Amino acid sequence: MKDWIERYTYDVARRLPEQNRAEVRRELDANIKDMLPDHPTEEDIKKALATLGHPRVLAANYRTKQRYLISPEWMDDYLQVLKIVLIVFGSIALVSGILTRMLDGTTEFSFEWIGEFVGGTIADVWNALIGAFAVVTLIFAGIEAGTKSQSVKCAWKVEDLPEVPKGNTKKISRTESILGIVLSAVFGFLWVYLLYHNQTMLTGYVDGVRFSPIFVDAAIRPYIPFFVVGAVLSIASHYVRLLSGRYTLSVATVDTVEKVFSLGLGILFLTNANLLNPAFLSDMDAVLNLGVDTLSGYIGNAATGILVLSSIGALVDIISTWVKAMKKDAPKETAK
Amino acid sequence: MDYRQTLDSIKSELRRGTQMVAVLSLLDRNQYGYSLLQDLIDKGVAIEAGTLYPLLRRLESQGILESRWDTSESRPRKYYTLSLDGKRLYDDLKQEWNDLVKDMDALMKGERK
Repeated sequence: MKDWIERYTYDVARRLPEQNRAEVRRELDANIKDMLPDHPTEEDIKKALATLGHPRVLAANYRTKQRYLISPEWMDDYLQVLKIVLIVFGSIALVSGILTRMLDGTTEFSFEWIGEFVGGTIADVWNALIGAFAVVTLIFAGIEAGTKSQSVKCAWKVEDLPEVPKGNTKKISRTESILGIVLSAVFGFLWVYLLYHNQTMLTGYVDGVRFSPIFVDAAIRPYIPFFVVGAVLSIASHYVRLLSGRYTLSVATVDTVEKVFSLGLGILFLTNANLLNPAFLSDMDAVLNLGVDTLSGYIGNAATGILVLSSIGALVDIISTWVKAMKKDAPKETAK
Repeated sequence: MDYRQTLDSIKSELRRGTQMVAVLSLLDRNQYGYSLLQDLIDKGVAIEAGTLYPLLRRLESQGILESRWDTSESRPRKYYTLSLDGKRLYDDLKQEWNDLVKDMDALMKGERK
């Protein structure tokens, strides 16, 4: 007989609260045996059990209350927050993963190094995504548990209703996009031009005496193609905004790629101590008389300050762009 | 829209609310799970074993049904019957059902004019 009935009732009962198990098993056992003829074959038993359905479904029917980790009422908010947090944490892990590995000082590019680079970065991103998922889910599960009783869930005031957005907050003005394209092109070109003509352009005159250039030529040359790519990405990002005219997922994606790239490049550039020309420092010190160490300390602090501020700025921008992109469209009447 | 599917899902939703009343209507006398199931199916109530047995248990825990195990025969059986509260509940539900039928009748006749 292979104990099919016993196995079935066990599989149902193990999903139920301890105190109900024995009684439910006894009931089920009696009911199943009632469904069978006097001397049942194995086929009879299998047929009877099949009509009762999956043990999981039957157990759910026995449970009086529906159980949720995150209930349908919270699902929309949960998914929206989850998407944004995953995108932001994933991007941050990607950038920091790439940067820390590029800055580890390795000069030899072996296959192992590249393998470690790619594999390690993927692992970083994966860990960040899992962590972000766990934190968001735990917070929402906590909210769910905290508002378990229906009275708390249904308690709301008319005053809590959000305001209907005035106009369409998803709209991107054409002027803003065009201005963005122009500024990216002009400043991008200017910056690349200055770096390229470092010898003559990035320097200064005091009392007719010409300083040495700010940067070491050989050190900045490799950066120039990346700055060109950065400028092109920035132009492309504004162009996508101009074309779509509103915050969409593609706008947010391109924007994130561009911000993450620029920020990463900025960090690589500003944290590279070999770029600054020692001759420039001593020339400047000859005028300011502060000592070369103090001067380079100031410059280092300024670089760190710029990095922190632009990192925070980029993060805020990325989040707000994604929030706008995910927002539902404003109702027609108000979207004039 | 799959017409058949939509119709079936609305129909089963409509019937689901009436299942419990149907069960109560047959429990003015002692019945065990399987005999009740047969009785319901004979009278045209579409209900599955996997729905009926948990429902009986739920009604019992709510005090609507009373139960006792009969172990005198070779097969032990759990017999259910309406409790005093259950009888009152069933009478009120019957009233509610009649009102509902009347209201729905009036509604649908009005629509035809």
